[in-house]
Amino acid sequence: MARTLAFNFDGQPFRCAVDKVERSDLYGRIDIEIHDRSGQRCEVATLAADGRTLITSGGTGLGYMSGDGRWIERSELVAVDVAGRRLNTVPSSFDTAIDLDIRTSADRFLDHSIRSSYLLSPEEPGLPAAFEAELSNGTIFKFDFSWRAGINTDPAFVMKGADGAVWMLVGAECNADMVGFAQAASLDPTDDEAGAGDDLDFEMM
Amino acid sequence: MPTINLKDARNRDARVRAESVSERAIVRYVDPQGGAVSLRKVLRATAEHSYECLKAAHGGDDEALAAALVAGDPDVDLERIGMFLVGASRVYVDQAGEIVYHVAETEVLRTPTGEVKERRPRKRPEPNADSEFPIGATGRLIAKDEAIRRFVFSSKLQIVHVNGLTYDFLYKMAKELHDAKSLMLLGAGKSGKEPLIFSRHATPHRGFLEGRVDGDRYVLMLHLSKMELKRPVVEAPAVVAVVTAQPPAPAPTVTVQPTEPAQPVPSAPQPTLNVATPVAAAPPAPAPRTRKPSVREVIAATTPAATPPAAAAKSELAPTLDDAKAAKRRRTKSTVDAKLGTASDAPPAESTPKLASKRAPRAKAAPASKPT
Repeated sequence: MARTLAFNFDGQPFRCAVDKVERSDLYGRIDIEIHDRSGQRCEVATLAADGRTLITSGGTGLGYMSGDGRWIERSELVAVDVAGRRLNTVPSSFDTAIDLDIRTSADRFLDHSIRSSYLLSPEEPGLPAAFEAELSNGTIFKFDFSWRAGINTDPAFVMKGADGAVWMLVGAECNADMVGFAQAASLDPTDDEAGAGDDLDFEMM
Repeated sequence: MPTINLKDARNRDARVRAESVSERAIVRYVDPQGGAVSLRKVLRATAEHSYECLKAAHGGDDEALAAALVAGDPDVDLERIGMFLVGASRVYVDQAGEIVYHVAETEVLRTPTGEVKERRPRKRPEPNADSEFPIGATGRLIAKDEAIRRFVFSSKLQIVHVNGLTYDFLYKMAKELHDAKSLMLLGAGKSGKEPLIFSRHATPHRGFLEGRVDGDRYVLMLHLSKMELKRPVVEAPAVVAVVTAQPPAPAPTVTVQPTEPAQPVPSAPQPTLNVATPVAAAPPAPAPRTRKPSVREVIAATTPAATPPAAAAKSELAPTLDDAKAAKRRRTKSTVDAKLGTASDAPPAESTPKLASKRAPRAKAAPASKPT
């Protein structure tokens, strides 16, 4: 059962079911199977640094430790910014109606990397006619989205795709700046430590 | 950050840098007193304390294992449980829990519905962004407004110059794309059409180059996409038509299959419905066009066993083509004869034993079972 989001356009409320669409939904996926020489299926495990402790799936956990080695429950943690200021929490977007009153351009949209794409299916009685007309004219709406209550929101967009469907795209803003002649980069390979894979998430498949 | 070998529309190439443009929110977590905390990976259980191992250690008897658990703590290793895991390695283990050192990796390709489509040895795509074949423009421009509605751009890299020459090189590219208000589809590899791969084993991405300029400054952004923005295909059960009349040609069911590219390739909007169209529901086929029978068909119809079926199936142009082929053979033969000094007026099929003997070994040398 898909969750539904409540929107508000020009004073007209409407609701849409949200269905996430991933690459595997369109093109399928590739699973990797590992076999030994005799053709028996193998599983992934973890070998501890002592070289003798073998840990199977589910044998590890993550925990927060204080500076003096105490275990801290997740619920006790406090989120702060760089300056140490406590960050406010934001409610989940599923708990409040989203106002669609900010329009943006294709150029501004292209300044964002899209992390998740959701197909919006309007519930009865459907999309408001004015909203539908704006979408058909190519308008892109922007708003702040938070799947679950947390400390920050992500930029999200609602627009009509080339296939005529209404999409909600959630992403992150990029910080591309204009560069001039004097701002040349270096081809020095020692700068490669970070690697592009961290950003591009190339290991997904 | 990766280095890429980029080529412009004039086939001038240069190695430039591709920089990350992602912004990371800087959020720290502290304890209630404001003290710093750290995230640590700890050991919860080892393989030898798993249910399977413990059961095997107790003769495969659940009752015996339960009794042991009541009597003591065989599932807990107080010396090791809870220790911080640093520098752990990933290994493969077999069914017996032993580490395996020689493994074979198999890719199992599954359809969107999860069905196995193919099994094959694992492919390891090699990076092609900085290879001997520069990444270049495919010549395909896509308007920005169209591109954002057809592709999901999940990653971006900013292309920046590394010296004065590459500044001019990149600025010009950015200016051209800025004026065109479009994205340029890039291609990699020898063919110049392959998707971009930045690191080994990485998922190939389609690259779209965007340019913006402001005075003498520019932004050249490489938008990367690995999926199209389209709704998934809904698998509908195939409807088998009940054909009562004799159809002119067998066409039981027409299934419109969506294209399933390994990577999103720009194309015209594809049909997304996968429905089986029964013959009964299909529009009536147009009546076959009538035409006058050709001379060859008349001869074939009136001369029994004179024309093999295959020849009868030739088009009306066949006689013309046959004549043209025969004329070409005659011209070729006369040329060869003139060169060899063996000019003859005899028809081609009856002459040139020398040529025939030359052709024979070639025909023999051709492998009969050569794979196509």
